[in-house]
Amino acid sequence: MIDLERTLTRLGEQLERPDVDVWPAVSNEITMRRDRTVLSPLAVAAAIAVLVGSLLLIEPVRSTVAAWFGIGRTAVEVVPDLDAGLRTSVAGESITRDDAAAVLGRVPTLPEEFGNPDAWLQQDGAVVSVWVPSEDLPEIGTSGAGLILSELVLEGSDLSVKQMGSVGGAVFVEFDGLLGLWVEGPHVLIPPSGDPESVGSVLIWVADGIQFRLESALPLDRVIEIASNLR
Amino acid sequence: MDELDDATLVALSKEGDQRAFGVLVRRHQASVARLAGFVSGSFDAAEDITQETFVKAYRALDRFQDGAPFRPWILRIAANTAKNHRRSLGRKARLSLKVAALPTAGGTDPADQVAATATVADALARLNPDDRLVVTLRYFEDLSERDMATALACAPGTVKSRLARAMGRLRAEMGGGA
Repeated sequence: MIDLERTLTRLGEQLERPDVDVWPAVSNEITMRRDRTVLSPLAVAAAIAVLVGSLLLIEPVRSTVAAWFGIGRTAVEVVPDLDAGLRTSVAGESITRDDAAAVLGRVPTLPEEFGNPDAWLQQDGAVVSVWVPSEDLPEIGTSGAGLILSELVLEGSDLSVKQMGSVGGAVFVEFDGLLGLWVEGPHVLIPPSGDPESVGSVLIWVADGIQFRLESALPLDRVIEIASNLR
Repeated sequence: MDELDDATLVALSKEGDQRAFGVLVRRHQASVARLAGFVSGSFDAAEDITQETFVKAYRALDRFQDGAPFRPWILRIAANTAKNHRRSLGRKARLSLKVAALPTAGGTDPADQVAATATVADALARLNPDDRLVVTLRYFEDLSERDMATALACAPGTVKSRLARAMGRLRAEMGGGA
């Protein structure tokens, strides 16, 4: 009978650690990146976030700010009494991968580490890829989903509205040279059609005329890792 | 600068001190490379994964929470980067573990101890990468449950169950002999 835990500990002591020194290459890489960045997008985002944070409270400028700031077809609304009783769900018409490609004009984007989704849906013109919960993807509320990636062609699409209890729940973030809006924690989404629903934490950004929306129960840094590895 | 702790080095790195980040890289690169080899299934790819891990970490420093431990955070980035490499290569590598000689207090390994270690190493190599990651973090990197939760990006309450499942599958690979 092997004492497994003791043997594993011993094995850990015996396993050779790879003899690597990556600092010269890492130093070279981050120096090159810094030289290419004249003005930090993050600094710009932080300054604009303060401005937007106050403007979002003013009703007439809400959609103007959203459009101006480039968060696609999503407006943010701060309401004093957020409806906390809504259920989370994943709605839409089931479609095939070919259908999704026809909607987007290209094959759907996928996070490298999770591979093909468990379902493709279409809702309000968006292609919605859904992965079921797993050890790496905790369930979003009671939705039955662990990760939801939505891709929406901006041209001709309708506006969705996000409702939050306070403007502090949304921050602008920079990743891979892109500006994204991070809305943390459950909040309310009012889609162009259909009823309001509760949704999990969401990162929204726009690239190449597409609004990307990544919904999960994961923290921001993990979501950005996933967003950075979409292919 | 080598004597500074991780938190101080992270703070200096956030302020743009690349030398401080260099100390962090050299302090943790061996652990990162070993984890990368375990998860990707290829120690040949470990150096590239290690390099990519630290570049990603540098770019993400602004989002690193002040005061949080650096090691589980960098190991999480390493694990995710290694998983991506494994998938992008479509690799089904048979992991080969290099075991260094480690004398016991008596001078040499007793034969049964060597055999047990070899059995466990062989079974570990056959585990799926997610299970290998959990076992590696616990027994090779000696992380606490809390740090494991950070490294695995999961709730602290699920660490025990994930470890128990991984250990169960490891025992099964060993043929129930443990």
